[in-house]
Amino acid sequence: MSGKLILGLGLTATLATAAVAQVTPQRLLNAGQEPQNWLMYSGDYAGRRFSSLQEIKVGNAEKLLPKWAYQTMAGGKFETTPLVVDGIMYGTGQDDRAFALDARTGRPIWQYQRALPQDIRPCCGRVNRGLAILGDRLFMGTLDAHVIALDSRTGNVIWDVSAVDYTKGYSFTLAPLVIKNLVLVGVSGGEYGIRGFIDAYDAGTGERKWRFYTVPAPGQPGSDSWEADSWKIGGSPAWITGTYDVDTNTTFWTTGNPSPSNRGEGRAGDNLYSNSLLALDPDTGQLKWHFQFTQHDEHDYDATQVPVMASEDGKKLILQANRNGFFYVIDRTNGKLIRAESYAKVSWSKEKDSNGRPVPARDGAPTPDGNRVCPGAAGATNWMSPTYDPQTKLFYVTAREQCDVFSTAPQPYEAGHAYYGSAYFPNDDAAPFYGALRAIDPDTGKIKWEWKHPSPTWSGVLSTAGGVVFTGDAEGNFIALDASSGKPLWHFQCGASVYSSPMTYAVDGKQYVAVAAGTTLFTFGLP
Amino acid sequence: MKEFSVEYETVDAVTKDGTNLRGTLLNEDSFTIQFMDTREKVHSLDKASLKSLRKSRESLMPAYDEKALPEQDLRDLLAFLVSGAAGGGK
Repeated sequence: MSGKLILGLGLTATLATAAVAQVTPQRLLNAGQEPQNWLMYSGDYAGRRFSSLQEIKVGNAEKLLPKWAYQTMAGGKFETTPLVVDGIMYGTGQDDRAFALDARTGRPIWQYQRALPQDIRPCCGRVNRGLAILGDRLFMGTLDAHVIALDSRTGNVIWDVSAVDYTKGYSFTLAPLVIKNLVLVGVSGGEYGIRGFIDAYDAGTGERKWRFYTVPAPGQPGSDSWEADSWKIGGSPAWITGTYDVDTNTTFWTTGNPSPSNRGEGRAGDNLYSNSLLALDPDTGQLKWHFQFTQHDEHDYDATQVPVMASEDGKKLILQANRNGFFYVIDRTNGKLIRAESYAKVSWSKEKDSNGRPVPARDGAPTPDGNRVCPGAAGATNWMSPTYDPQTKLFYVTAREQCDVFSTAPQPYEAGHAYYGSAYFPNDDAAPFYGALRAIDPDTGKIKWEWKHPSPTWSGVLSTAGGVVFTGDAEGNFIALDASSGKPLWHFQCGASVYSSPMTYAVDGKQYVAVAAGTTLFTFGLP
Repeated sequence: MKEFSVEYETVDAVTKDGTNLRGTLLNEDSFTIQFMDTREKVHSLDKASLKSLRKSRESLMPAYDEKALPEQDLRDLLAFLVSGAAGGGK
């Protein structure tokens, strides 16, 4: 299945170091203590995408320069967040590429290209967001719904297991999450009438240890939230990487839309556990509790945004700026909602229930003739990562101000075929759409500052101890801003829209910031 | 004032040396703006280098003036255009 190229035989000392410096579960738990590395998709188990590196700071960010670039030579969206371990960078590219690079120079060490079947069904691009690592193995989910382990030294395939039949519309696009000796993945395919799940595989053997179906079968708790047999094709994928609280041994995952995405007829009920936050026991996959953000969704408001862990005044929280336009603060010990405040234009919900949870408005559903609803189908944000900065105590998120006209029509289900039950069209009659990076105070849900983008963007956000936040835009700029004020400090034109979430690392004491745009992975540093 | 779709926004820019520039927006991002002036010259400027920048949805097309083009001439022109004669009448 793999075509592999070994390059850079001249790499000696750094590679030798990487070969012996195995990534243990303990190192993953303490990822924040080795900020020179980036050991998992969001940087740490809390999902904060924050680094304590501070060589690059407000006072010198204007001096940032490109250091090196790596080209995948592949079209489509380049969504990876690479890992860095002891001077070696590991990333993924379009069409299930993977690569290892010298993180100081960008020189390739090996490259892997999966031979994909012709008839895969990725709904939204042939994308992959990254790898997980444990020991000397890298783990990757593939577009043909396999989970594979690669040797981090060579790119050789160690094991390769099929999770599910890809021809039914299943795929993997997320970066896996390693907890202890397990590799956790969530499936994509909410636009194909799949039945979503989260899996855990033994890192050593590839054996599947548990599966949690995100749509309960008859007789299971929550099954009464589905009409008739609609649960069988109920969607609810889990296509963004979760987080992990070691104190309570709980892993948090989020889920996407019920299927069909924009037609509620035929699936009456709340449609659990679509658009939800799930608290799972990582050892067994057992559900501890859930919180559903959008009930009986008809606007494709996937909750697949990284559930960020934060602690304030002794409270253990999950922070999430949801695609549905609300910023939620949730007690992560029990799933109770603390606060939900809109951070973008919202019309799908006009009131909250007795627990403070926004509920759908009666006039918000798609209609045969079209109904203008905010946010639009791409959401007030989407999969791109937010960041939480423990220094400013602000949550930074890419917001998208765009409404759509949602129409709906009956659509028979056909396995492996797109299953939307609708169409939607951009609508800017009232106001032109735009994007913004917004800094939200979790204590109040209020926006402290925003940096406006000319158009809605798909870039994630990184915060650093240097007081700098990094983000990108649809116009191709990679931008550094003052985390306290939103003042722009520096920008670089990448030549293509940024469809990724940036990260940072250090080699030999020098800090680098990396971001993917177009076909290229760029890194930046000080002179 | 005639309003029209956003892709035809009008740009009014004043450079730091006081030069007034006016044209139709071609492109922009957070840091730069590109527009074509009424002499069809393309400008690409750093926003930070400008004294002022304003965008409006006011058309640069001259307002209709009956003295320049009497109503009957206007009707004849419209009839000519609608007939497709200018495109070969296919």
